[in-house]
Amino acid sequence: MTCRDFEARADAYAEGRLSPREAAAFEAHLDRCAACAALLERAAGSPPGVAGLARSIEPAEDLWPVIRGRLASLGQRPGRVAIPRWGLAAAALILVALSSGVTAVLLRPAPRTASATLDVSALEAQYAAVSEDLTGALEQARSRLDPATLATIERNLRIIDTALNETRQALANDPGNPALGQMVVAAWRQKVDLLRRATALGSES
Amino acid sequence: MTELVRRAQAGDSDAFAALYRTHVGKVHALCLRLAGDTHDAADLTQDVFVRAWESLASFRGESALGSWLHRLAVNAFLGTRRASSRRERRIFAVDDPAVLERGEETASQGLSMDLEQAIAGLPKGARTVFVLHDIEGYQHEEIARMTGIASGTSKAQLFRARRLLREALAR
Amino acid sequence: MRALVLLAALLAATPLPAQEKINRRIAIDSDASIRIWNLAGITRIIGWDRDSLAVTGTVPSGTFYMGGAGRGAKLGVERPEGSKGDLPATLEIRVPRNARVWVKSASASVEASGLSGELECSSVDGSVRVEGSLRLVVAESMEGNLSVYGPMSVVRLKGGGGTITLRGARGDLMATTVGGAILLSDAALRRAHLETVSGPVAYDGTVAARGTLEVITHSGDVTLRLPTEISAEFELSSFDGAILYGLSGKGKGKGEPAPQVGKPMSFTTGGGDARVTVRSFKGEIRVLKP
Repeated sequence: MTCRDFEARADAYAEGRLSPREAAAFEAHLDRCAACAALLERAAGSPPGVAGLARSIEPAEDLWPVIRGRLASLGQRPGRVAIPRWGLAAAALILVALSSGVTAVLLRPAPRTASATLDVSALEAQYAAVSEDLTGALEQARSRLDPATLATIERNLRIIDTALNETRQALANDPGNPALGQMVVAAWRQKVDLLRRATALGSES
Repeated sequence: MTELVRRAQAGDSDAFAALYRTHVGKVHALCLRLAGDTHDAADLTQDVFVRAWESLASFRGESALGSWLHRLAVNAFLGTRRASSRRERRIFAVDDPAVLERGEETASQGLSMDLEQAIAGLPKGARTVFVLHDIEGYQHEEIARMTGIASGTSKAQLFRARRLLREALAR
Repeated sequence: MRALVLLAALLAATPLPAQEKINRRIAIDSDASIRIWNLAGITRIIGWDRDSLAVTGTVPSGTFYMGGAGRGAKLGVERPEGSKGDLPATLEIRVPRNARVWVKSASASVEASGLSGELECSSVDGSVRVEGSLRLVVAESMEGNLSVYGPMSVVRLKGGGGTITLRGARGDLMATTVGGAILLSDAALRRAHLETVSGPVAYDGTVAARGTLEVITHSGDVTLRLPTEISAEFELSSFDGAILYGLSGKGKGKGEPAPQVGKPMSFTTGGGDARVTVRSFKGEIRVLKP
């Protein structure tokens, strides 16, 4: 595109009338031509009033209760000072980092691509590591837990492990299936969350 | 680094709540202008503060906390754009083959409007660049790095945004 | 005579725990933080329009404590010295409506009513029942039922084997169980995320305009009863379970997809204002009219 062509297309670009190919050529020209870039800058300065725009706009409703609720559901209650216990501190940090990303993974309708499979594998590896740490911590806390509570925890873990095994088997038979990948991640998240709750009970006893 | 930030990093929820109250106005203003929609802006603002809590340990105080939060907000917004296939992916509509693209509200014709409304009415790409450049003060090279577009594209989008705004405000 | 001696010896060896009645009151701020610790028995929390904290009830002798003023207070029942378990106590606690209440339980049932502030409750297998219109409800019980009645702004519930029940839910909800059911009636949520492993999910109500309803389960059956005129984007997928769609009740017709197994269903009703997503591994998904 020449500078003359560029100038001729500026209005059309601004109004969205260029084809995708023409728009791409228009934008690419700007990367190379400082003169045309300066022309655009002169042609359309910042509209009046921008400097006077409010820098701070409070939300219509108080968002703090929702934020606080989300932080609470991450399993790391605000205000709880992390007391390092063997295996738990690292596991908790990974869990917090994982939790916020997992919901996006769970509900993103990922295309059937190899990268979708890799995402699940990477998440699985992280969850498996956290699960191992938390299971170790639970073993140490076992003697402090009420037998009925322990039975409840183990029963719930069995339900989750069954679900995890079934979805992992299905994914192994159909590796490119993103929906199955998401179910595997959901099962892991449930397992790690239950283990976290169980070890917290053990540390409180 | 302030004492409040240090306490929040140590897990003090009251300190984090105080930081929230101090910064929510500015963060929300940025989210509102980037998203162009009050509902999405509220969701985005929540996301920013949740991320801030999660990654507060990595804040070293080299910049002001407000600048750090602004960076989080821009990244959070761009992240929702990249993962926005929920809204942009076409699924077959049973009753109506036409697809509604939420968030792309165009300025209503024949009405004069104030600048905020005009900004909200810009096409997404142009609005993002305009907000980051003319309101938040980022340079084109920074915008290009953050958004994954070419520097030339950023300049073109800014031109487009400014032209459309002037036209909208002149009505 | 011998029997009496034996009885006396038995009583001496296993003394019955003494109980005492309590009736205490302190002045606190209307939005004070209150921490309550009662592991066994019953904890009843009632919101009232006074800036004070009042506790009545029956507790094992010498185990009750209470303190604080102004912005914060705490009260509870400690484990009696030398005791291996937690002895039950019944507490009725009146708090300012707008207070922020934190409750710890093990097997104690927790009931809260008349509150408008925040409630956070952690239990092992005690049930939790909340009624009112709070800004925030966070409740967790490994085995107990969790019941929330009324339009709360933000609700976060974590169950295990117990049932999660909500009536009249509005606002923002996240509820997860393992084997327990999640049951909602008269729901009109702005954002709902429901997750079980094997527990069934039943959602009866609607989704607010521009709202989202997300359900994830491994093998629980999911039944959504939604208005026939709902405007929403639907995405339903069950790997090994049937998906039945019967919103109009007319059966397979214009715009009403046929039941299918193993294939995800994506479609839009009306203007696609809300979003409804259900993902199951082998549970059945039913979308029906009320």
